[in-house]
Amino acid sequence: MSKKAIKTLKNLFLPLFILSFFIVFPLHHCEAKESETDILYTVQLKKLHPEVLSSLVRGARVTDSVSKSRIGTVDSLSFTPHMTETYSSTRDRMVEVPHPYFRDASVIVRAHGTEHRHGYRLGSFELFEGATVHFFTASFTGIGECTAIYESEASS
Amino acid sequence: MKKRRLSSYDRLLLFALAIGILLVYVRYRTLSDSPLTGDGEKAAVTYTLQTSSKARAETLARAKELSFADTDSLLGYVEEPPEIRPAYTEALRADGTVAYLPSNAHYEVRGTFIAEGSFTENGFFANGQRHITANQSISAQMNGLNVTILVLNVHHFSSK
Repeated sequence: MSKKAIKTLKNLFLPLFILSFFIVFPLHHCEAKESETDILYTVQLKKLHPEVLSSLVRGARVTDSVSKSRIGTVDSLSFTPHMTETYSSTRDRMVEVPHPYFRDASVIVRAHGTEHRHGYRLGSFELFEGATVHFFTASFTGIGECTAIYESEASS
Repeated sequence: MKKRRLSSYDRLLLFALAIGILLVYVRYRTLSDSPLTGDGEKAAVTYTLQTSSKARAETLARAKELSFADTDSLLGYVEEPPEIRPAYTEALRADGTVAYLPSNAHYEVRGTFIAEGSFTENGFFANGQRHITANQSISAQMNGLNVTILVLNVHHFSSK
């Protein structure tokens, strides 16, 4: 290898090293830490098969499978019959009635987040009322919607 | 023999290289997909799927293995033939409530397959391909037919 090539390689090494640092540790890791708030938020998961409900467990760590961010731990769970819309011939309009088989789940998740726009930032995931949550735990996957966010008593 | 000394730039490069190796090591240690109990584990995965023809349901029930529809790689193998039964469908009663009754036109195929992989802190990682968890829909191929299965639960499997 010629001396010139070696010199070029040496000159390229430092910029490449600096670039690789940002690839290994993305920019948001380097941002100044803002004050974090303890929050609780509700995720609604709809039309669940009754046999999958036992896989939704308290204490499970939740990840948003799209942003790959840790978005909290399951604090509590409640299940209600799934409401389905159907035509009522007696009333001649669409009505909502409880489904006899499928269930909806309300999952309350506890997390630490920084205030961001109209909601909170959890890692790289932006949480706000109405946000779609690609809910992923070690035993359960589902797509839900964030319906409410509260600051937890621990932080207030 | 002429003694060669490192320039300050060479020292800087060596230092940067050492830091780089350290960062790669730290990143490797913080990866979350490391198996909890080693490779070569098995999971019993219970699934259900619906189809609109009895012949199709019977073809699916004869499948000896399942593969991922997109990559064609093995998802799992079947130990016992799955059950075929009428699929349940919604029907409106005269009183306005919804009934959930067995259909004459749709069939449910329900069974268990055995998948190999490893249990990680993110769940069961099947065949180095992807995580499998309850309530997940997977596009799979069984006996040459493409189907979407719904995973009902995943448990450790130990053959006796």
